[in-house]
Amino acid sequence: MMRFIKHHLSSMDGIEIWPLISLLIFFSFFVLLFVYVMRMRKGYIDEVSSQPLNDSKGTKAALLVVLLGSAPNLFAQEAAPFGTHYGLSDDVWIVMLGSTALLLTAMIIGAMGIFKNLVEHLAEVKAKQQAAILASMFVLTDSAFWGLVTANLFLMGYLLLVMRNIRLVSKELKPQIEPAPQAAAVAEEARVKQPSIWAVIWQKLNAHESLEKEPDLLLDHAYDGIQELDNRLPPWWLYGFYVSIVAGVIYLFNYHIFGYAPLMDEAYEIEMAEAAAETEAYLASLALNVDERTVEYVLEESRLNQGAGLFAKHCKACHAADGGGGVGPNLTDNYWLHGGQINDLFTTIKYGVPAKGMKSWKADLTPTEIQNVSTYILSLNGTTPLAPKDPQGDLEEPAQPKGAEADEATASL
Amino acid sequence: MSQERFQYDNAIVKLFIRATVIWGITGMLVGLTAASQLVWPELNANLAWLTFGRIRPLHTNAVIFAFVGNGIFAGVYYSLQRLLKTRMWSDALSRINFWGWQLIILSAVLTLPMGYTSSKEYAELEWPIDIAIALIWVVWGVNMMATILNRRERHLYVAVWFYIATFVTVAVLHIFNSFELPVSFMKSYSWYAGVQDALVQWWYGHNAVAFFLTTPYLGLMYYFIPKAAGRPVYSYRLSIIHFWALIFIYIWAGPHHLLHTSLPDWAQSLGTVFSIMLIAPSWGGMLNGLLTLRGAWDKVREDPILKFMVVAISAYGMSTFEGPMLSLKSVNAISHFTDWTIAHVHIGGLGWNGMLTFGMLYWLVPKMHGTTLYSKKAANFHFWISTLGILFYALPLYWAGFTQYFMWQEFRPEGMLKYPNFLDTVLQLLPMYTMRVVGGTLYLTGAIVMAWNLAKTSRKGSFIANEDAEAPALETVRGRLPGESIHRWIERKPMPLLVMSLVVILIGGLVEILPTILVKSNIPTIASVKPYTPLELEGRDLYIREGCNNCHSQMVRPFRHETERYGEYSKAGEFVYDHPFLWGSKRTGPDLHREGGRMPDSWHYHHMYDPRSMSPGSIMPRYPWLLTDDLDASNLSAKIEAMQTLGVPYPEGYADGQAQADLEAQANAIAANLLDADIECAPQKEIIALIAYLQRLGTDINTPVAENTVAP
Repeated sequence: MMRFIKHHLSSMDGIEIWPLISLLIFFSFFVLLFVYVMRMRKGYIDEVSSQPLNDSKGTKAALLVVLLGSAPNLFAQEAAPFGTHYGLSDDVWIVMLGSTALLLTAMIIGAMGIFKNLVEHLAEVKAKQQAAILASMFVLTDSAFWGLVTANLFLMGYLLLVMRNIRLVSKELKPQIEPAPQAAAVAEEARVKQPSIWAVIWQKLNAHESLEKEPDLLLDHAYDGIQELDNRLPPWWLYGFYVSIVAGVIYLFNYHIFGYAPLMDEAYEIEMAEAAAETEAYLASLALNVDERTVEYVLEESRLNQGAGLFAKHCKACHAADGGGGVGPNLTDNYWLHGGQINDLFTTIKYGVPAKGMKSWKADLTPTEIQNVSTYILSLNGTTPLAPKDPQGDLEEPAQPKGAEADEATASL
Repeated sequence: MSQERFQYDNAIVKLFIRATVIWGITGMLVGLTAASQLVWPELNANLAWLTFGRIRPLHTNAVIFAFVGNGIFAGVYYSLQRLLKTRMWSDALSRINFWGWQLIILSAVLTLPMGYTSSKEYAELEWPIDIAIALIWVVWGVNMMATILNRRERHLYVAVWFYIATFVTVAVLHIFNSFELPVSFMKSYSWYAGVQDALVQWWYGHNAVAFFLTTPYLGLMYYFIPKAAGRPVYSYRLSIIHFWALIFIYIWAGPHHLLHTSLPDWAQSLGTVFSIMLIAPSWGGMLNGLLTLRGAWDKVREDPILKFMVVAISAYGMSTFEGPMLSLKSVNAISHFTDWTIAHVHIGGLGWNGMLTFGMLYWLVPKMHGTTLYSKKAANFHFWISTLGILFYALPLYWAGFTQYFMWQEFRPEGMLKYPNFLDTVLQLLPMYTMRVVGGTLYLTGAIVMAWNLAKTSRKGSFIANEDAEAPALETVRGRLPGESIHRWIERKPMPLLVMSLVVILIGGLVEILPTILVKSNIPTIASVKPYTPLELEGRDLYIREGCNNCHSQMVRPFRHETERYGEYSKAGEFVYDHPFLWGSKRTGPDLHREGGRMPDSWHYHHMYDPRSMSPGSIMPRYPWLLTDDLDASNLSAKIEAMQTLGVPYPEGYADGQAQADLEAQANAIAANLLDADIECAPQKEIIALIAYLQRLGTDINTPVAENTVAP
């Protein structure tokens, strides 16, 4: 699937806003996480660590994988006791550094993505030459992209390694830095009085009351034993609801009242106009503008090969694999309904014969492809198909390819 | 106050539970068959009644109305009695509800594979069955309201508000969408046509999701989660706000099924905007459910019932976020007609409806038999295998949806489509379809294990058919009590609550549907559009019979990649004589709206006989009986007259013979055409009519003919 979408992201208008948004989100999350960790109290960590849910099986599994790839590190002599005086538990370290690694990865990929998109966006707006120079500085080839991803994965792995060391060392050093019981009690009280910033944010978003307050919130409803609490509407939900309503109003004004954004039909006209301009520009830059007046019958190996492939793909269903005909006429004889010269074949294939049911192929095949299929069909002239359809149309002289030597080639086919 | 003694009716609940399990497995099995047919078209087996087009509606109807439907009744009959402290008002009506519903399902099982279908999604059942549905639905509603009026619990719990809203809204939706003019015992034409039919259909269709698959299940959630977890509901205020917001806003969201179609722009925008506004009310339900488990999360680890319910609510939350996202026009441009829609539907269906039903059944069956669940291990296995099944189902289909869209819209720099052959985009998806079959198999396996587990449980215990209970009778209270909030007042007034719900849900429908029907400028007239000829009409009815609209759409959207691939985009005025509309919802095969004149008659003849002869690798089933069976045109006069009643301008007296003559003349012409291509086919065969219809499609408007056309 990836190969169908990789190149389109850059062609969508305004696409660069998305990696920018994602970068903003990740960066804010990273900053908030950092603050949260720095402000954590040891007592709280210990309490959470002793929860019954903490069986650390997942942690052990992840670390085992890292361990296997990090044998040399086992012989580290000295590891700086980096965060030991914070006394953070193993899992917090893992979460913190793991997320740092992930975030770094995301940021780097995002940043490269942004630069690539910005540059390609520039390419549409400014002169192509200028953009080409700029692009060559930042362009991210496929190999570079995947290389970066791999590098980041290794970085993550290395960080997990380092953190394992720190954890091992901190475990050893912990007993030495256990605070005195009195100090612990004081720290305990301090924790109770000052909830962590994360808890504050969560509480404000949801207007959760603590579970101890529940009896006060119970309403005097009872339905078959089911009771109801009188909790407030979660603020994030409520204000989110209001925002969605405002967004709806703005949407309707935008599309229907002020008309800033095009509706369906107008958007279609714009799309078609843009595409026509693009296509014309592209075709003008190439010499593929063969048409039914200028096409010539040139017998060449490459033309015959491509023509044969196209014939097998598109034509054999109606004209049979050997050109003998079926739903469509026999193409191997000298009787032609619509003319047997190469420009006649070109015309027939390009415009089709709607009245007879032959489809127009100009939307499916380039002019060169139509020329090559016509070439191949003419090369079938005189061959004997398995189940030839009866001749239809007028008798004509077989078409002659360009160049006398080609006559021999045709006769021998 | 005297204590009154009474008994709860558990027998009716048991009946509905059995039906839920049986039809659940049946419906999933039909779904699995349909999914397999996409990967191995041989499984269509050249049997008319087994083809994908005929059994796909059987699957949707079975899982929605038979599985979820019986699940609703099981849960409602159990919870309603206990929340109101009274037995169902009428045991007889309860049983009529049950047997009537099963007979309706049985009639679906028989008629849908036989090809008796209206083609309108989730409303395929023909008019006699529609009448039966309305009757049984009213039976249920009357029984429920009478029970409520005879209750011993003064205030109605939030679950009951949802049940009432369900009853009222489904009745309105079903009745108005089923306005159809019968032509014969099992055939009718939709009262509405084209754009209007599409709007009414999806007002119904989306709100079938809302008020059949969502609101009753939210009611059940409000009962079974607090019961299973032993925790109070998180926020009474939240239940009030989200209930009213939900039932009001949901109705408006119908047009999000019709984005980038010929539906007027203003209606499309309303659909988008209200779908976005719907996120919060839906999530209100999710929050109330999940937050009720505050303080009970350790129980969730141990109890499979709570696990099912948590995943169900989470799937509900995901679905009700994804849905609004799919309602944004830019996202919809990608997802419409692809497998992304199917993935979305199944997250909701398998995740929310399926898992909640399972959790409810695991809680109910032991309770009603006075015992514990036979095997907790098996229930846990069921939980994990169904979760896995949902993932294997949905993720490959997301992949498939993206892949197909990006292939459809890719252009070469020379300005032509990169994948002009639609079939190439389908063949690319077959591995994902295979994964989806795996997912469905896992899910079905889980359901079968559940059936075994529940059967063992019921045998282990002894069924309590009538459960003793006692409660004091209610004294009547007149007027408002001092200090009583409006909502507390309406909670003890079931009839005002019903009326209020009805008023609220009618608003959206009126605002969107009335202008579309009454204001002519919404569907600009195209002078060159003419009614279908009699032969084409018969062919159209064959198209409906075979369920072709389940795989083929007839709506070219105004996108460059669609007009390049199919031709001029579809205009509203082209569909004015389409009773019913056939825009379709999915492109397993290409869009057919501009099929007319694209291929010779002989191509269609060969293609219907064996699609692979014209399109190698195609997954379309074969339709050989169309070539051998004679067209049954005995109802032609009735059909023409019905169309005339519906406003289609056939000449006066056209049905008295001229129609038949025209049919035969056109059939002869097509047969002669086929003869030119060395095909001998008698003009009275069904294929002739179908060819006539297909060759007519999209030819009403004059598309610019290519310059330098070769003279025929």
